Amino acid sequence: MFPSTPRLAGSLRSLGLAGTWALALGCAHLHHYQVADIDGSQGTLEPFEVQVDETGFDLQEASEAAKLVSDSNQHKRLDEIQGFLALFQYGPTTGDPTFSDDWADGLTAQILARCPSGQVTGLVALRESADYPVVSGQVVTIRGYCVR
Amino acid sequence: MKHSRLTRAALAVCSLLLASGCTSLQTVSVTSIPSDRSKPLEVEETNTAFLGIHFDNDFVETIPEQLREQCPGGKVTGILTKYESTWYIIIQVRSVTATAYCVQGDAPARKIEVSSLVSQERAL
Repeated sequence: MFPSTPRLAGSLRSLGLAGTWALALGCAHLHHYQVADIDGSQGTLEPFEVQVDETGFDLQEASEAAKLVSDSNQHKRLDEIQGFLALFQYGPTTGDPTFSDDWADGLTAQILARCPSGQVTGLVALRESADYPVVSGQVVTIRGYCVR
Repeated sequence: MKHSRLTRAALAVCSLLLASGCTSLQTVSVTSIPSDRSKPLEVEETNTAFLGIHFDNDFVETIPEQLREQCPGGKVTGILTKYESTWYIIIQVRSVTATAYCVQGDAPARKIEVSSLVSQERAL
């Protein structure tokens, strides 16, 4: 009538992991915030905001998820993959790795498109991420004022 | 037995106290500092979350506007921005503090009539 102890322990562990993921669903992280000089003496300031984003992947979480749905024989292979990934996924970072290294390059052009005069002030830079299981949204937001 | 229980309890309380209020500095930035530092400004915004699970970062949105309100028509400069995170056991408090200086901008140049310049020159 009731599942055996090892099966119950396995089910509870899966449930616990799923619950942890559910709790962390849509978890927002702020990695960096800075404000530049705000010059309100040159004219009327019109606020603007530009944003770029990219999908990030947590490869460690992906391999943990794969272990949940695979049998014990494949766990050793997944552990080896995790170890291999850890060899070159180290060092200070903000957010998860992405498969593009130029997703934030268009910010300057976007700012100039929003402020054709080029006179901007009060630039605020936010580096943030929205974490979901395995994938995440990596976001850079620039807010500022265009001097009219 | 009672003595060891008391010692364990005291150690547990001390550990909790030591572990509470652990602050880490996430990022810091500073802009060029003006020579006129007679009018300092400060703005602070905080955000608290259970287990450090936050669902948005909107708490920082009003910081630039608050700085501007404290310096109407002037230039907010020398901005030191600190983003810190403090853990109180299972509660995380994120805080962004911006300290700056308000410098009144350059007075706009007076509009000088060309004709008055010519008449002054003739008078000389």
